[in-house]
Amino acid sequence: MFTEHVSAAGSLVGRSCRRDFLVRVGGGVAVVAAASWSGRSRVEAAVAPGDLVSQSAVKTAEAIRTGKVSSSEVVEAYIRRIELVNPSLNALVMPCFDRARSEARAADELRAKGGKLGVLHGVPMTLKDSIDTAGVVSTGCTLGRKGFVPAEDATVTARLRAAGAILLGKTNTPEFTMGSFTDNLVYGRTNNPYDTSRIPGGSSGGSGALVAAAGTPFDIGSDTGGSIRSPCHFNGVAGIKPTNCRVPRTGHIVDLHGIFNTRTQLGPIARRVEDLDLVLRVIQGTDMVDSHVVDVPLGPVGAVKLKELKVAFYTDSEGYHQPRPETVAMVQGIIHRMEGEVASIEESAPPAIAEGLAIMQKARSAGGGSHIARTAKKAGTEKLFHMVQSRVNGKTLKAGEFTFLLEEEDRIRKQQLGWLKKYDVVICPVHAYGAPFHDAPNPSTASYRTIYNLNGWPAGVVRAGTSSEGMPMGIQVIGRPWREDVVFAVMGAIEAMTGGWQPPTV
Amino acid sequence: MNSSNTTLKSGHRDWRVSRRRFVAAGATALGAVAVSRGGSVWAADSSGGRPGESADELVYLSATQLAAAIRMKKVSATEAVLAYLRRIDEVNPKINAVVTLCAERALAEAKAADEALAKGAKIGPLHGVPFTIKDSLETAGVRSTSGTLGRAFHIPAKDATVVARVRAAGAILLGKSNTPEFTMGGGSRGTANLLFGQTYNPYNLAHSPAGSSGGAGAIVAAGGAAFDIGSDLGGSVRLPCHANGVAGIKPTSGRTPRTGHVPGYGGLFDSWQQLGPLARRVEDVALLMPILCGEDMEDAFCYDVPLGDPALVKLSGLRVAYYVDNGVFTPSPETQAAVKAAAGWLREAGAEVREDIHPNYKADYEISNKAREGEGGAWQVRLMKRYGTVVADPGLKQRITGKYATTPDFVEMMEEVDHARSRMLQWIRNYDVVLCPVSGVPASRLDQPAPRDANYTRIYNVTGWPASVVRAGTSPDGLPIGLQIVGQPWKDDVTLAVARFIEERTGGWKKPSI
Repeated sequence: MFTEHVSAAGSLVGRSCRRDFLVRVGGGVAVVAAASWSGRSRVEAAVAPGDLVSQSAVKTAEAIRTGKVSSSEVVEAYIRRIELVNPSLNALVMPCFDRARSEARAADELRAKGGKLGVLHGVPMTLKDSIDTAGVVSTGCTLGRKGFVPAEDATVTARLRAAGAILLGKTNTPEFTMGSFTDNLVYGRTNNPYDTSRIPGGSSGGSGALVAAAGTPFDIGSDTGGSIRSPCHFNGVAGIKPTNCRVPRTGHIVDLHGIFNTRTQLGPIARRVEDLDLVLRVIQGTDMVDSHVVDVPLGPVGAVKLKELKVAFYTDSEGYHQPRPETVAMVQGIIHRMEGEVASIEESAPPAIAEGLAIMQKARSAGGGSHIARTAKKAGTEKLFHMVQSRVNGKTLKAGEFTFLLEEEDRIRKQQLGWLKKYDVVICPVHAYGAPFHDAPNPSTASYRTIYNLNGWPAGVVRAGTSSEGMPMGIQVIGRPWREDVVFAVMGAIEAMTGGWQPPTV
Repeated sequence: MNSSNTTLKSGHRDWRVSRRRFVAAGATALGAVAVSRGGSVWAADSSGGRPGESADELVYLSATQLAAAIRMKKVSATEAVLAYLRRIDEVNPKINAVVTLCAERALAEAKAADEALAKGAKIGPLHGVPFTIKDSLETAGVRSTSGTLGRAFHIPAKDATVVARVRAAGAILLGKSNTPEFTMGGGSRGTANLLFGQTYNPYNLAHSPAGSSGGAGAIVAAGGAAFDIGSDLGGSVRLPCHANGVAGIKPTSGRTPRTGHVPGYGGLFDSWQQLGPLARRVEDVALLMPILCGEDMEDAFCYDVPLGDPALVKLSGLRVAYYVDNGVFTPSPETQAAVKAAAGWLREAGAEVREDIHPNYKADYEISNKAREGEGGAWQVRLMKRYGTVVADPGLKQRITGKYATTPDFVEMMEEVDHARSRMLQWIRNYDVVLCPVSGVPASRLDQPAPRDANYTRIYNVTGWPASVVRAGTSPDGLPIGLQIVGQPWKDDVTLAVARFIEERTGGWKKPSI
């Protein structure tokens, strides 16, 4: 069934590459020809360190601001790069290049006129297709929304554009963002830029793959159970799931209003840690629509003193998932190099990880997937992707049992928060191994990630090594609630040690 | 009637205070006690001239004034504690608001506080100020029952976070105030339980003090404590403030750590519950807020969002909405008049005032009720089991219907609640504060079934917005009428600034005749 699906998806990829894309610009509807994506089968021409498209968003913004390069030049460079890499990745599923070009021209004119520039003035970006973009098709990768053009930007989209960022297009995600690899019935499968026969992870797999392949400076992913962090790990880029309730989800296609609402966070994915800090400050804070957002101030990363941090690390989450020896060795290697640089290091894991995950799983399925069926109905989707369909099983609990599970979840949260009093930072694997092949079994190792959706702590990923198979390996850095500044400081230190992102050479 | 009353009577002669001495120390000195803060209404001398208040009595000073008097050594902590114990002794047999007393410890702490002050030690902002605590909050070494039989003899080892914080700020615990079982079993009796019985309204003993912080509201109003801390899951701080004519706030959801509250934090309606202070004066509520708020690394839903200073809020230009009837329950004419008068004063002060109410009020209120009832009281059953209670108060039993929604229906209801929250949030973007009744009627007679209450309060537990209450009127039969002042999330300071302004106009709390 899986193989059959892949071939079906493959043909969809071909179709989507060649067809014309509908892009509505301003009020009118215009039909623009897609960039011609000739059928290259491999990711070619590794980026060199000096290349425009290998720069961080921070450096790109600075170069545009100081006139070293124009926004148009940057946008053209990224479009060329996308045209080169995307045919073998299928990471960007909906471009809006013409609009991007005209916005870049406007950005350059504004600068020439001495206009007020946002912190991302003229910097290109892509966005996960689960995030609404006014005038640009936003499907959430579900059939019911195929070709759907939203009238309004999601809050994060609007904020980034107001800060001067220019949208190049949308990146692939599993249907309704539900999946640990990235494949769907609308746009098909996305491949890993380090080895196209492997998965890019999910659900922000298009984001991770395109950022890694230098097709965009940054992207915004969403993370309900690890969906930012797993693609960061598999594609060797940096990303963060912010503290629950920091970033508004208004305009995220999967309408997660309700009980599982606070678990989803939107967060940046970029090649460099410095970009995460820049972008998070643009997208955070209440929009007076998403009622769960809390305005807790974010301190400056520069003020964090590594020497004062108490670090906990673990490699094995209660035996829930056995990490490969190379994963253990990588974490231990990083920890070893941190000795003397921080206040203290202890091997310790949050309590009750396995118990917490079991409760979460039971609670999530207590409605028999009725919330997924409702989401599908709202989107007008009749045929769901098989992985999503399998979650709709109609097996339900009584409401009283369900509310008990929610209390149990809170008990775990409290227990874990009590443990975190002893530490400032937690370091652990993101995943037990590097990216597997498309058709290989991919047992979820959510234990490393999903528990942080339950307790809500900020969790970042930065590349810290390479697997024996040559695939990127990330490390997870977790902080106390609302202390993304601490997470970024530690991620930055690890990036400095290991080099972080490496250009793909496939 | 209970063991605490025995304690209450013991040694009551010793508590007869030295009110005379305090007064001698200076009726004039009181004026100087008011801390000058400059700028707004807060600068006003908060000591005198309010109708209904006799400022010469120690127990009726605001907590702020008392703290200043102690700091300036006009009065000792021991004198303050003795004065309050004496007042409790006087009123409690009538109102049954204080259910456990820790008089000896309070006197010992007062002595230590006086010695510390004499030695010039560093003191907290509440140094020597006596207070009581709702019995649903744990107090180390002092019986904490939450009104349930299973905890009749429970003596906690640890203070609840908020209790620890006010004690660290120098306040002195006098005892515990009554609450219905698990703060939920009051029904039309307001505050009553199988352990300690009924609490009565100090303005009219035939009336309810409302609930669930009814003990807190009654004892503070009667001058038996400088302040108390209640909990509010549907109106449980605000309704007793209304019924007993005192000031209080349900802070924004996520401001106060609920660690040490029974029922504890957690579960579906977790975000609805906040702890908040009750005091006679708005300035005291403002004084207590920064002490109570902020994360404790135990309650996972408590956030360090900066708290503004109400003294810095400018009323001029403030966008104010008011409504007198939410379509669920039509309030008494006096209640409506109190809201309208407040709106008028704000308009005079330069605020932009409009009559407006969030759209779909009734539907949004009803969906939250439906969701609350959807688990058929399973939560209450679990609480009884957890705390070893076999026999439930009839008020609590009422909530245990066993009528469960299915989980799919339930999950959908919760989605609808979230949509309602978002709709309401988009409405309040247009306003800085909303004025409305706390309740449609004043404190109800205990011998008459009360109309279903909380229909003006619970909606703000669902939205999580801050809501302050201050006395703004009086019913024809002499009962207090409170005004509810609701703000945007995290703008607790704005609601308190408006509450203070209204207090200036109406006089706020008035001394009960008991």
